[in-house]
Amino acid sequence: MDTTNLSLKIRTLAKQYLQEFIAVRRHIHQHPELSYQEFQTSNYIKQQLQELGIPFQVLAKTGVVGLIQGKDPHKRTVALRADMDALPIIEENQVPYCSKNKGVMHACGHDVHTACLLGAAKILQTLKEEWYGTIKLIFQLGEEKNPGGASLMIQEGVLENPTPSCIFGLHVHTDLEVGKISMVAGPCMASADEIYVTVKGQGGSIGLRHQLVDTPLITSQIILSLQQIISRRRPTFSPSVLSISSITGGDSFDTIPSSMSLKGTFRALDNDWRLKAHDLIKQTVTGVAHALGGEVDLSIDKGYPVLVNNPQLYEHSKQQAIDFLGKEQVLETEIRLGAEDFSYYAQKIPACFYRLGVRSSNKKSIPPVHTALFDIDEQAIETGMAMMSLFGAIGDFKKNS
Amino acid sequence: MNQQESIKEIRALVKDYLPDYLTMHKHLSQQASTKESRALFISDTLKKYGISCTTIHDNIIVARLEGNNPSKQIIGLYAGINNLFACKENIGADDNSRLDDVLDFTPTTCLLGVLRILKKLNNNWDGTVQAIFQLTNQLSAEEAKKVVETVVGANQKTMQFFGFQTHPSVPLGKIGVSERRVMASVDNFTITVKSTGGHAAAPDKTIDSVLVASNIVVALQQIIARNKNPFDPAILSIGSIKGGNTTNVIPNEVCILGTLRCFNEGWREQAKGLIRKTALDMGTALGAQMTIDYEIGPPALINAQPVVNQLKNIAVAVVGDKNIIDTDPLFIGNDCAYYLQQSVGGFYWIGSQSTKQVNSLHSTQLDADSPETVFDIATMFMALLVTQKA
Repeated sequence: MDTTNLSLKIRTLAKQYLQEFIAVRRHIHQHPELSYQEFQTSNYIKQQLQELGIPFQVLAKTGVVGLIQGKDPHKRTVALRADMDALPIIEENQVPYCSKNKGVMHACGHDVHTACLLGAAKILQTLKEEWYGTIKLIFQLGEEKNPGGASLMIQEGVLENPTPSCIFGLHVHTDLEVGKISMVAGPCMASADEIYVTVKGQGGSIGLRHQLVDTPLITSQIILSLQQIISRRRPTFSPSVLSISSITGGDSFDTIPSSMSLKGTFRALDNDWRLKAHDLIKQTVTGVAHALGGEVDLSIDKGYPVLVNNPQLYEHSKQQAIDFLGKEQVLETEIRLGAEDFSYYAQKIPACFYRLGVRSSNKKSIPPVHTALFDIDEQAIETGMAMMSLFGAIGDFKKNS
Repeated sequence: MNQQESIKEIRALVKDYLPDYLTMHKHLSQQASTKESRALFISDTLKKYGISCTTIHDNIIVARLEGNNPSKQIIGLYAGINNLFACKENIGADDNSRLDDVLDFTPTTCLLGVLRILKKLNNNWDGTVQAIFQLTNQLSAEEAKKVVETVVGANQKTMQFFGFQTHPSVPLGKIGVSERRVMASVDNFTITVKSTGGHAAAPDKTIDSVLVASNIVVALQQIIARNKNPFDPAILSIGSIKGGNTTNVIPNEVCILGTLRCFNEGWREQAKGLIRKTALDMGTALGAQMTIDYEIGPPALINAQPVVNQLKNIAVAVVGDKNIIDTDPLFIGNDCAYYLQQSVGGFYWIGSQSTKQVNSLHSTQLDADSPETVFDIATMFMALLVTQKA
């Protein structure tokens, strides 16, 4: 383990500040806001930065960018990013910090990410005589929903003045134990496209069903048929998922509705397959609808690209993490098909996206993200703060002199 | 008094009572606003006519009237409050505004008129009349069985039961008589598919409730297409599927609303088993937690053949044989069917479609010139059911 002065200090402060930033996390957890509506969260972050004496600016209405300068600010610039939006889920956790905003929940750990970055901000600000360069703290809006807050903040110049040489981001990982992190080189998060379908036809009373269009049945048939794209048309070695996550239409027992809507998401790790699949989705949806007598509106809202970790940055950062946490604590990420708009940053500059273990070691498994019972072992916040501070202080695309 | 004379006399009385009819109809439709106040109005009116009545169950009034030789025949006359306008039998009717708030008090008012006439003429007809005023829209199967027991009681094999409704697609001045099948049995079901839900990008960590629901909706089609006797008309339809509200969260619950309508009680029971089995077993096999709430409604309303002839004969007497329409069976239900299950009887339609109206879905009132015609025909018809020899 790295026992250099700086690492020791980071470790010490992370321990010291843990309770404070558990409270920060809980505050954010209690006041979750949906994507692009993070007004209170944004204000809270600004307040925290102000108290730390860290200058900031606002981008894309609710995004916040802070700047900490160490010794020789021009020597290097590194960006650290945390997202802040929540999901439309009704929280079922019986905890004192349960969501107070009914129907909205931090079910993806963004409250944890923000708390870790704020904690790192405090650590880095406290230790700014001990590290070189400039650190950009990116508190990002709208990660969960197209077009992705990253793309908006990039449009508004978040990667300029100064331009970071690399960027780090983290995400909670429910399969990984507290105290550990994981990372992987190359593609590590999937592309994600949103699918919207409306099936239409003449509706009416069931007595006239033979003259009407059975939109619920057609919609069900479409949902079944779409899975064949994954089970039969997809190249066998290309991980990919198509989920229809919402279906709605009709109101009564005895009337056939004139329209049904569905929403879904398509994930892939290969861009060629991604584009081919878009065509197959169009063919399947329109083909099935027409064959069964209905009309259909389809839109595929292209979302985030595949997230590719820069291989050299990965190697360098992995070694720094091993030195800091110990070899057993740094694992290789088992890739899933979650998507991240962090991929937009990765398209511009070298990026390293890593996973933060949040599972108590005495639990075999915990409820996954995007479920009503998701929660973390808050000890993870100590590791999160420490790692973000470490990468902020000494992480770089070029080796440190 | 012979048949022709009695028809003449009834016609005269109907004409006399018309202004009262219009007042009563207006009161029931527009002024009285609760079941209780309507029930009170009806029992007060009957008292005024000198007709005894009791209230059974929840605002169901039964009145009893005897003619000569009370035991010669027992006839039940039924008045419900269903409104066909609320049943959206028209194409393009996707409007879900709650038209079942608009009730039809035509049968109720006519029945009051009929009883008044029969009371006046009670030396000129044989038998006993039990009149049922049902002021509740839909009884549960449990409730209905109890009510029918009370009304029909020991007279099952001997009692004759009749009911009618106005029909917005049958022209004013005409009468609709259906051969055999009049209205279908009604069963409504709610299927709930539950899973843990989860991240849409990790479907292997949960069960896809939307996909399970889709599988069930498609599988249910088999019941009609493959399990049913092709000669038994039936409809199994899904009216609503709802679950989830995002692109990237697999919902933990999807809710399906559907209905079974048919004309064969044996098949109805079999289909219920198949629907339950398909939903519960198939959904469970695919990994979901399944529940089904199966709401049993009235049985099919079937006219017996001799009754059909009886109805047609009376229709000839009232409107002439050129004004009888062979009406198609409807896929809505009616509580009168419970009574017809336990007795011999029939249901018929009084046309209410005026030339001005033409299937206007949003017309909830009868046209200005139609009430008289409807009252005229409906009251005559029902009175003749009692006074004419079958």
